[in-house]
Amino acid sequence: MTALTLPRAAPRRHTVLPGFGLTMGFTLFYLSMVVLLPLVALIVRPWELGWDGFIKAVSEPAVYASLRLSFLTALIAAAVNAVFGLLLAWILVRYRFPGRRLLDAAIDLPFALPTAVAGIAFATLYSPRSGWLGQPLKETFDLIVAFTPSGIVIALVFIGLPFVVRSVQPVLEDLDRDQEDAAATLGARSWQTFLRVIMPALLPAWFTGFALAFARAVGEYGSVIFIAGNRPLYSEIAPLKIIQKLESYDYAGASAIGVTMLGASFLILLAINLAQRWVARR
Amino acid sequence: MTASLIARAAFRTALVLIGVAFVTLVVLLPLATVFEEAFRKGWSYFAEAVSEPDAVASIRLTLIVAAIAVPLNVIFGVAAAWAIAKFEFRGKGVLIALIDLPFSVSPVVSGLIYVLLYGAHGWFGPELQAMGVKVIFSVVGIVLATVFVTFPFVARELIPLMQEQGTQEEEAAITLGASGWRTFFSVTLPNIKWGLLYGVLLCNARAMGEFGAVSVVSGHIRGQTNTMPLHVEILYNDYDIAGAFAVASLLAGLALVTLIAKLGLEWRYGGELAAARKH
Amino acid sequence: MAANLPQPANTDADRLMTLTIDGITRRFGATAALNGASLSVPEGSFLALLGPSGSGKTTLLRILGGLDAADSGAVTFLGEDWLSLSPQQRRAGFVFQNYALFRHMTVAKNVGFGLSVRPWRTRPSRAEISRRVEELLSLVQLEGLGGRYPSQLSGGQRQRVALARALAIEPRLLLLDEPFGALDAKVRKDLRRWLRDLHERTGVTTIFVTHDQEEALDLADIVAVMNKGRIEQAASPRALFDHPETSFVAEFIGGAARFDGEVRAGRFAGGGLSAPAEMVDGPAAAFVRPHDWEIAEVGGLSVRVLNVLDAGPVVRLDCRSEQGLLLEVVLAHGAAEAIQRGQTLHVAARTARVFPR
Ligand SMILES: Nc1ncnc2c1ncn2[C@@H]1O[C@H](COP(=O)(O)OP(=O)(O)OP(=O)(O)O)[C@@H](O)[C@H]1O
Ligand SMILES: [Mg+2]
Repeated sequence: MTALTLPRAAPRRHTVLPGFGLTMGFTLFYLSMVVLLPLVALIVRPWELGWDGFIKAVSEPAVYASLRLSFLTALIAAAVNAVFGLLLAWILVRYRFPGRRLLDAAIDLPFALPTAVAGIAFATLYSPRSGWLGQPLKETFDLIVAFTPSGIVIALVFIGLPFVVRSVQPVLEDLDRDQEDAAATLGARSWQTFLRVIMPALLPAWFTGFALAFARAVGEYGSVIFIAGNRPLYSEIAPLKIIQKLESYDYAGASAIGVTMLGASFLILLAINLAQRWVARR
Repeated sequence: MTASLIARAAFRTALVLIGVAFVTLVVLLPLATVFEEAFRKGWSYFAEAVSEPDAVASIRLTLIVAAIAVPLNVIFGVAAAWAIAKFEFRGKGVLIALIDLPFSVSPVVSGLIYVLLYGAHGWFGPELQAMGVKVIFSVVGIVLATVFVTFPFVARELIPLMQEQGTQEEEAAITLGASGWRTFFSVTLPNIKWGLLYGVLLCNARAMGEFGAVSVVSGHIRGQTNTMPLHVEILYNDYDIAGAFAVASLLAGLALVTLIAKLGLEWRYGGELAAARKH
Repeated sequence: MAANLPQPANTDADRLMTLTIDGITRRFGATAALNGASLSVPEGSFLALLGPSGSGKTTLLRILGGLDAADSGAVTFLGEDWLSLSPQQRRAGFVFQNYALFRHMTVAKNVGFGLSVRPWRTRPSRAEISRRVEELLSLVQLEGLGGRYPSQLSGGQRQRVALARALAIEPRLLLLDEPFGALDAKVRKDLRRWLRDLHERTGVTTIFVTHDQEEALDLADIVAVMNKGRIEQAASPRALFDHPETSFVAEFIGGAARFDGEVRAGRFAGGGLSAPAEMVDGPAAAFVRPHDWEIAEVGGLSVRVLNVLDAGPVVRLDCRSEQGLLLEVVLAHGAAEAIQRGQTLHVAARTARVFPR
């Protein structure tokens, strides 16, 4: 995948607007330098180990455990977000209540707040010794969240929250209310209307939001690293493994993990694309 | 009838309460923690923590990095949006997908790729070393990684906006005798300025707050290659919790300012931004 | 209404004063939007491009304005190879169908734009620009609205701003794409009259696209009828009406009914219609306009009256022939007394235009 195999920019429609060559040229050049070339370097690197070496690098117990942990916690967090994101989109679009705009704005905070800041905040909040939430949880339920996989999930829920809400919200806003009224006049109960009329329309956007939240969570580092505790084979995430490999100058091993994660991202992107194509066709 | 109405109202209230509780737990409490911890040891400690030389150096570096990365991505974003929105060509979908790519790459991988290119054992590492140029563990590497991570923001904001606006106003300007640049500056730019500002805000917030990618390429040299988020990490790991949160609260303040500016923009120019908001 | 048919240019001296469009083609992938469109009209004409949707009117206009490029063909105007000029050099005022006003500029800024982007040497001073803008605004009867934004104007007002903006550059050619398309009937009529007056005063060669026959016939010196990327005929409204040169024009202008049949020995027969035809034998189509019917004394076409519209000076009848063809028959009041819906009627064509198929 280099700039050369990119689609040739061949204008179909003549237009008098100038600058196509200049802007397209710059776009392709910049894209190649900043994004494509480095990614090629990533994809090529692990193969100096050979196929067997690659497999060995990613199935080394600590690496395998970290990949498993990253994917599993990301999946759980995305699922939590799917449920609560749908609920939030629903109340934001359909209900009017005091503080609605504030709530709407708060949803974007995970986009804007640096991950490291969120990370130390979570670690402090859930600290079993002194955290606002960690201490009561420990004392009343004997539950420890910080430095365990459940802490990772909480950080990932934070990171992924906006994706589901912001995917579902516009679709819900554009939804034709007449259909619901029609369903109601046909005798459908509210929950039937919701399941049979509203949900099918939301499904693609909901899935897109879920997939985006998942993709973001798999690779997340900053917000997780402080609360994870980073105990090998227990709470070490894949991105941390990459950093450790780099620190021991095992570039190929680091790239092998990176490529695996990148491959997963591609699959997710593909799934999102298919979902969107499915919508476009309906 | 009234019973069912009451049940409905109760159901609504319950849903709203669940939503609010969830957001409070996941978003608002951590935010409150940041400010509470930052001022736990009082104002003077806070002031000292953010004015101590290493902290100042990190703030300075963060500003420098953003000042380089954001304009680069603005130029790229405007150029890409112009080519994509105003012209028809094959492979447009692929190009847009490629522009989006950095969004779905792990921050750590975003740093890793530059180490693979320019690191001591990277593709160009030996040549660079021979020339005495240091990319990794230096400001250059931090800028590169930041550029990668914030790459799609401006383009992503502008493409749908410019696609929606079409080409007719530009065509009108051209028939009236305006040159290409003139058309861009007096017709296109005023039409996209709020979307552009919005994109710049998001790009800037991410550029100043990026942690994972920068952490890989920086080398964590105190006072030299530490950006604010990296400085937060170092203070935290040194058990200077209040100091870490003091610097972190500056970043959180930036995030809040960004969000408020965004709210203001949406409130005033909602229509113009509506196209771009659906991402 | 100007009724004299403009003479085609023959000499070189005439050609200098002529807009000549010669064999323009333009393809979009598989569709040919223009397929050898040719036309020649004197400078200073008021020309209407009339044709069904998709016939290539907008494409031709865009090519003339320099917004699109022809695949082949040539245009000569004012003695210049028009297509080799850049849009800026052409100085063609273009009025877009949906106006394309700059929405972030006031009305005055919109109108003055073309002057303010001139190269420094030829750019009028600020005071001069604002004087000209005032002048143009009063010309389009929008005095005092210079400070408004396009979104604060009605459709008709926006239309006139778009016109004033195009006029500000003192265009050598004025191009209007369905300028009245989005307006209601009354405003449309007023603006039409007004545009006609403006043309009389300025004398600038004007081409406007329209869907509306009545508008084209009412307004233009010359009407060019387009079909499938070609210009079928360009002539004065009268000539077009009285002497259609192709079957398309015959059918399109004046809402004629079409009868498919055959010519044998100087007579057309088909669809129940029989009419004289000066044509070699073979398959043919005959066209009869609503006004060209009369009540038949003997024989004639047997039609059933579906609807009677008795309003104004004439009576309009919607009819269906025995062969199932729908046609409109217009009769004078005297001739149509006591015609009832549902009744069967025998009509004959006073004039039928016959073209080979
Ligand atoms: N940019 C384009 N890309 C592809 N096809 C086009 C383009 N512009 C026009 N066409 C095609 O060329 C043909 C002529 O289009 P044009 O817009 O000139 O028609 P028109 O006579 O102006 O129609 P209308 O009265 O509906 O405006 C149509 O079949 C149209 O689909
Ligand atoms: Mg058209």
